[in-house]
Amino acid sequence: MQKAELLQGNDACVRGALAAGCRFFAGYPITPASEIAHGMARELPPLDGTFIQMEDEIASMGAVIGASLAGAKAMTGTSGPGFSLMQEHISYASIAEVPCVIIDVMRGGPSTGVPTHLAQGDVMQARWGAHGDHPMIVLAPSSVEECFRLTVEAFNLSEKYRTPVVILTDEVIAHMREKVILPSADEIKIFDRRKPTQPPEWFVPYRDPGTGVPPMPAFGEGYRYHVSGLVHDEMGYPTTRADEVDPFIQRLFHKISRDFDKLQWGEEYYTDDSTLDIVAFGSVARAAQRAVKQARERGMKVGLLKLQVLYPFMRRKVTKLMRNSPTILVPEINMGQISREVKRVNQGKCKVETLNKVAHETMTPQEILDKIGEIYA
Amino acid sequence: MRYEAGIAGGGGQGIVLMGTILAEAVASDENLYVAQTQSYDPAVRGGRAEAGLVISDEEIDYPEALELNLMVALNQAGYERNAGKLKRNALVVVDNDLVNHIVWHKILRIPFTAMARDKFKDERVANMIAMGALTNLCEYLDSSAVEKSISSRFKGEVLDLNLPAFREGVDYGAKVRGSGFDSVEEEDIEI
Repeated sequence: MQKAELLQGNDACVRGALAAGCRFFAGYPITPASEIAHGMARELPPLDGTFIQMEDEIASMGAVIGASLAGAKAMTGTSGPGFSLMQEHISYASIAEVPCVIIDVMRGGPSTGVPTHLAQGDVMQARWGAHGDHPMIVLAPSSVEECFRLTVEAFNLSEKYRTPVVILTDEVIAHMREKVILPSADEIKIFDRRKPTQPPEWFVPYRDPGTGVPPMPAFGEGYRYHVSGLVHDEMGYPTTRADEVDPFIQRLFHKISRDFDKLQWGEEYYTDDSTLDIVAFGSVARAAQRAVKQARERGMKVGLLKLQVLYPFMRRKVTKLMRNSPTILVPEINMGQISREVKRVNQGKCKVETLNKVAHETMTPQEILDKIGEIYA
Repeated sequence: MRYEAGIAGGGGQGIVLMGTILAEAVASDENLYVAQTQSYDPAVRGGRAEAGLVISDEEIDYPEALELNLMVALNQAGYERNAGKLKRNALVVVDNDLVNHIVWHKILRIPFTAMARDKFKDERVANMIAMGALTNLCEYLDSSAVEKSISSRFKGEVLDLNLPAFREGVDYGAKVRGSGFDSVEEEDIEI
């Protein structure tokens, strides 16, 4: 039995990364993500890992990609302004299929915005910030315990699918401290990237082994291959041939979408008999949890789906709610980003209500309760 | 049971540190859950600084403190920001010299900063004195658990400065409580 401890969200991300086997961190300090860098700087050297503070976030992401190609599990942590700078290299990691984890602690934006306050304005950027048509996995913890667990999973997914994975937290989740009991090392499942088994001279670096995810050797292990941001053929060399470009892009998407059903991670509260369901994530999900409880006490049949995966968007669970409830309410601290996804998968099944707050303050249970009352009225 | 405490003051007064240490002490009680949140302005000194504590005997859904059972204010602005969040019969503990204008019932005025300055020649330990006093004013705070948390966080001369200040606060809190708030001015103003 592990001991209970008081842990901060950012520190839980550090602990999760280390538990998953992360041994490389490159970053540039920024509120409210700096504690991730602090923790990594403290914890990595004793584990023979590497912490490096780069000159900016562009270089940080470059260093993370390089470390991952050299065989290390690598990550960075930042907030909105730094996340913007990382987008070009996230696009590169996506096409070159380099596993890596990026934590974006959302703060008030746009630009420098309100640096020490929370927001949830980077949802669309996490999905579509990098250029070009690319798949993206985005996870969103709403507690300190989930910061740990989802960081472990972020590494597992990035290793499994050879893809960058983004963890979106917000200032409240990142800075909050909660009493947690973390699992011991033998309770945690770790996935390491598959390596080639054939001899180097037979190695075809980007051939689909059937799973859509080619095995990945580390640089220096004897396997020579070409890494490129250009669309490439099976040998890794640039191609413009339609019969090579099309299957390549298709494979990038399909390697993740084939497991779509396995990525429906969310917690449901009182959704069995609900007539109004809330879909929420991050710190807003915590306010919604309380609001739903209070609404039930007043006899209103309200349920909640707390999203842990934002992308690929969990349409399986969300549409299930839509079939049972006439109304879905989406509260979020932005002008409506997840509500767009909810509306996209709705296709007329039910009514989608929004509750948006952009004061860069926490959403309170009362605000959600007021909206519930309004819908019921 | 849900017990909420708010600690408010300015950047540099050690507000968030207080929240962290107290939360850690509560977390060591195996029957209690605790969530601690914080909020501050970019200015390192002088800006807004707040810490919230939610203590419960069941898992905590919403982690922010919005209806306070206890408020600690180490400056006037901190008091004013949180006065609207107080529950009826909430206990308000303020720094005697830095909070001058108060409108609420059940108030304790303790000269945390003056004590820190006079006895320890360092205003920075006002937060330690305040924490010490609080262990006598909040049933969920155990002074030995808080002392353990402080001892694990500091070492050397920093610990030698902070720990006696904390103990001074504990003694002061006991005195205040023992005398039924007689030793400090108390107000009963209904608003």
